[in-house]
Amino acid sequence: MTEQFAIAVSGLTKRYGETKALDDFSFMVPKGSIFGVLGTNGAGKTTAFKCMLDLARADSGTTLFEGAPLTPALFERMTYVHERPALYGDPRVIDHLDWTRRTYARYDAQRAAKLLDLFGLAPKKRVKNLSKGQQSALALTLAFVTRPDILILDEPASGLDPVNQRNVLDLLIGEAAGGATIVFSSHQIGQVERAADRVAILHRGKKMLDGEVDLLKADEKVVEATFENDAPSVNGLATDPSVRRVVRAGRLLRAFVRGNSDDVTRHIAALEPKSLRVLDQNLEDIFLNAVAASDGDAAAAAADLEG
Amino acid sequence: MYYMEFLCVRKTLYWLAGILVAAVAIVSWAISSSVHGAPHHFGIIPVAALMAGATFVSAIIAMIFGCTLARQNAGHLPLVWTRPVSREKYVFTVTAVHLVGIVIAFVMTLAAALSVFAIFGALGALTMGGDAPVDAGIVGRMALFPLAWYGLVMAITASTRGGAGFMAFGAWIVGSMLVGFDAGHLFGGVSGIVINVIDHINPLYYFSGHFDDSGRNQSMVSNVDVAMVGLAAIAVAGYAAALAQWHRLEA
Amino acid sequence: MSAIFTVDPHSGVPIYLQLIAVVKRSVALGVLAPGEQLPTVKQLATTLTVNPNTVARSYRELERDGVIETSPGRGSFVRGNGSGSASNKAVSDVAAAAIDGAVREAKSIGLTRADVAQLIDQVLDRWYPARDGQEAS
Repeated sequence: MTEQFAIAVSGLTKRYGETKALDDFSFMVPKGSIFGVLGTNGAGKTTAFKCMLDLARADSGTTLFEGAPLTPALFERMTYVHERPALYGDPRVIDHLDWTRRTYARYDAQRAAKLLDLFGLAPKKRVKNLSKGQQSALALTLAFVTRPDILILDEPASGLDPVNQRNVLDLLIGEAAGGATIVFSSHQIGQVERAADRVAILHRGKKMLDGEVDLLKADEKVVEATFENDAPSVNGLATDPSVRRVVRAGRLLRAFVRGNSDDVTRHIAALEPKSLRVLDQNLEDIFLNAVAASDGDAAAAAADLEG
Repeated sequence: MYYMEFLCVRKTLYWLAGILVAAVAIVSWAISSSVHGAPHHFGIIPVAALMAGATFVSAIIAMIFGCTLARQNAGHLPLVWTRPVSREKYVFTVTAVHLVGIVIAFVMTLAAALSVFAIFGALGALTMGGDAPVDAGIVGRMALFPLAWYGLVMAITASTRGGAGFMAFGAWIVGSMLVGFDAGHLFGGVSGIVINVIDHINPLYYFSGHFDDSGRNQSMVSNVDVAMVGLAAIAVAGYAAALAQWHRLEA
Repeated sequence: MSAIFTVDPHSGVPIYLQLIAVVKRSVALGVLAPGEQLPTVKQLATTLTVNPNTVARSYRELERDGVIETSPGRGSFVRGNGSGSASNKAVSDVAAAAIDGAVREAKSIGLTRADVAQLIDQVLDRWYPARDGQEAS
């Protein structure tokens, strides 16, 4: 069953001392898809990747690649780019490429030349003399140049200027269109919105949400109502399973709904609001909502939050 | 897989070559300016002494190479550990390059020393026999001495991230001090015993190719076979300890 | 050709629905002619910098709705006659939904039916000048 997934992560947990950097994190990545892991800094994205790739030892949980545990041989077809470039400082750009060429059978010299050109990297320059953005670009170049089947990228476009950010996204999409499986983490919602099939939202080590980007957007709606006086509490909302969260702020009532919003709309309409509308939610809204819902659970007694 | 380390080794050897050339030039100038006109008398110099000097240098080089794991640990593990070889295999391939480098360093240094003699036409002053004959025991210990330091430094620095150079240098200092304390019996009782015990993982304990004032070759461990086994044991045990640490390390 | 296809990835409307709407609208307006070839999934994904599976999903739904047809190996093409009516309906559905939403909004802020009708007349006069037979006040 897990063979159909290029990557199957289940129950990853990792503690650093007292804190749980990752808490029971699971997700499945179908072959040929792009999976985005979205989260703020410190959410656990880098820890997750390290545990998946055996760079760090998870306290519990497994990661399977095409149904099998990780072996070094898999790295012939899989590349990883760390969030901070792990390149050597003294050697030059060309040295890193030569190193890659000698290590991998699938090295594509033409692609290497094209990418150097695209990112404006001078081959003879020592890596320590490159800007941070150029170093990131080189790290990505090394990843793409071996035509991998699986790419795992930690914040792939961080440190890059907007033009190169777009170039990187284009590269990702091109690879995926060619059949590669890609997992990337980002705190930039726009990237995930464009490029990802599926997204997992990670917050403080826990997975808040997991689904197809298209379907999440279609599913998640906000029913927004304004009232003459302070927004009343609405019976039936607390028990409605499709209601993720309800926020009241003065005269405004917002119910965040997943799935069919008709029932909720009817409940609220029964209270005769001055205005009532159903709004779409983009990924940023969904993300902020998921994060706030989690923080809200922790402070359930806080005013203006219910449900 | 070892290409990056190869570049590092090559760069180190270039530096060594430069230093040796400069050293030969300085020594030659010093010799030629100290005695004017009269033919230079070098006396009888055992080749073993030159080889000991070359061994000393190649041990320093071995220690530099031995810091390789600490160098990788300084931020490069996400790159090195996501290659299609296991961590152990990576270290083995890199060590293969290092061994070649250590041998080259030895040869270069010996050649530099010999070249000083050649410049002054004094190659005849060299002897393979004499007080310190070049025998299997000497050669064996000379081969194992840098390897022992290599293994020891690897073991000490396998879990550190940077700063390895200081630790390696420190190990040399401490090693020299320990041998000094032990040989001079500076500490008695329990301290003396402890020092002697620790000294057993000190490569200098098994190899003192230096000459004391009376010109005799002094060695802490007079049984050559024991010395060679000791050095080999340090090399192997240190290497194994380094591998074990690296196996467990987290990026 | 690719200038026709624009999407807003940051909108709350899923990209694949936006693409479907764009294609249907283009067909209804004749911007995409019957038999015309659409870009491949890969081409469109890279042009728009969006996920290829999203594009593939739109194409599948467009095919299901009878707007386009895909031949393996040849590509995707706007269907001949008949697709026009499906697209026309889809486009007018969108317009109807927009008008519905506007009237509901107007009602919720307290406008009477007469107020709303007057507003609509003004708007109609602006967009359909000197024309009879539309909404009566």
